Amino acid sequence: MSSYYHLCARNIGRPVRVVTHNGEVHHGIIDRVDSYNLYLKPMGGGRNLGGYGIGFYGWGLGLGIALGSIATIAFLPFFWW
Amino acid sequence: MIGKTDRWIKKYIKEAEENNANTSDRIKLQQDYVINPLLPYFNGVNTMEIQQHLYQFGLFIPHKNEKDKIVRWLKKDFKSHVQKIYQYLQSKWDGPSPSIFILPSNEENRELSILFNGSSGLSYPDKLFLFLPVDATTKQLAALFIHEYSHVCRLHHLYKENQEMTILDAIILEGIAEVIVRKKLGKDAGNQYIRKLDNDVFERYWNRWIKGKEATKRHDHLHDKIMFGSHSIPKNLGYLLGYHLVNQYAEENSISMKKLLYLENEIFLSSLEERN
Repeated sequence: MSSYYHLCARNIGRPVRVVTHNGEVHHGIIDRVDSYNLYLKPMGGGRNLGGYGIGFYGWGLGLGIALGSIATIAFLPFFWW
Repeated sequence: MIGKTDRWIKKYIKEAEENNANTSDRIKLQQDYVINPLLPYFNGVNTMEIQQHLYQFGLFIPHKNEKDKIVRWLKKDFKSHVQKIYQYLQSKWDGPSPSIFILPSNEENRELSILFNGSSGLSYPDKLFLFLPVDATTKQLAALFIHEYSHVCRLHHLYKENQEMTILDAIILEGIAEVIVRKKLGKDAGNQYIRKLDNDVFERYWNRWIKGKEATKRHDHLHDKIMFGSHSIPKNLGYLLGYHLVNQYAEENSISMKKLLYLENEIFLSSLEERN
């Protein structure tokens, strides 16, 4: 099992920045982790300040990141979200 | 008025690099130098809430290796391009004078990079934000500005201050923006999730998700699910439906872009009823 499994399991609910081996970067809050994947949920949860965009919103829901693809995980400060 | 965001970013990156700041410190520095100057433009909202909200819509998220990109971004003259297109559209559409803020976008986000050319925006009746990647082309910048400024114009002309908006308002607002972007710049411009729907698909989606729910308010959780999609709702559904509805109306009626921009929701809806 990936060494990241226990790290993530111990830190459910914390905001992170995850970089994968192929250079993808994901931001989110650790939602859950299983033997294969880490699932992030979008940060936010603050008030919706409205406004209208072009269709892009947030960091993607229910994102699963393969544990084997993770290069680094950095924990972000709580004050951020 | 175009805000002095380039100065804010310059101060931010200088401070971050001089202190060899880590990601957490940079997020805080971004608040100090880039977000705090925006406080007067939002009522009763704190710095973190603004920062979070702008992240959701595509503002750059600080990280340790961002210096080269930010420095290159600052060398681009996005401001004068925006100024030109803004003046042109403002007189053509009798548009208002919002505060405009141009900021770097979150280039690490794959969805944003692939489907939106790395460009994103956010607009209100009195202000608009443009989030641009360092290599944004003039055409991409124009597409984003046309989209967002059309929102400012329509919101300003048709709605009262603090009026609570509905899902129908949002669908038509977005449809108009994307139709105008494509008319002005060609079919390859704009949000790449948007594609032509077959009429029967449009009808199925409309009847399933919109009919009877037209008055759903902005704060209702269903609103954003319909606009952006969810596990059970197609991606960017509100945008797809809005584009289809407005595009069909524009194709069937010879109408100027300016008239289209200020057309009442009911006109689009009655054209839909006539077809059925």
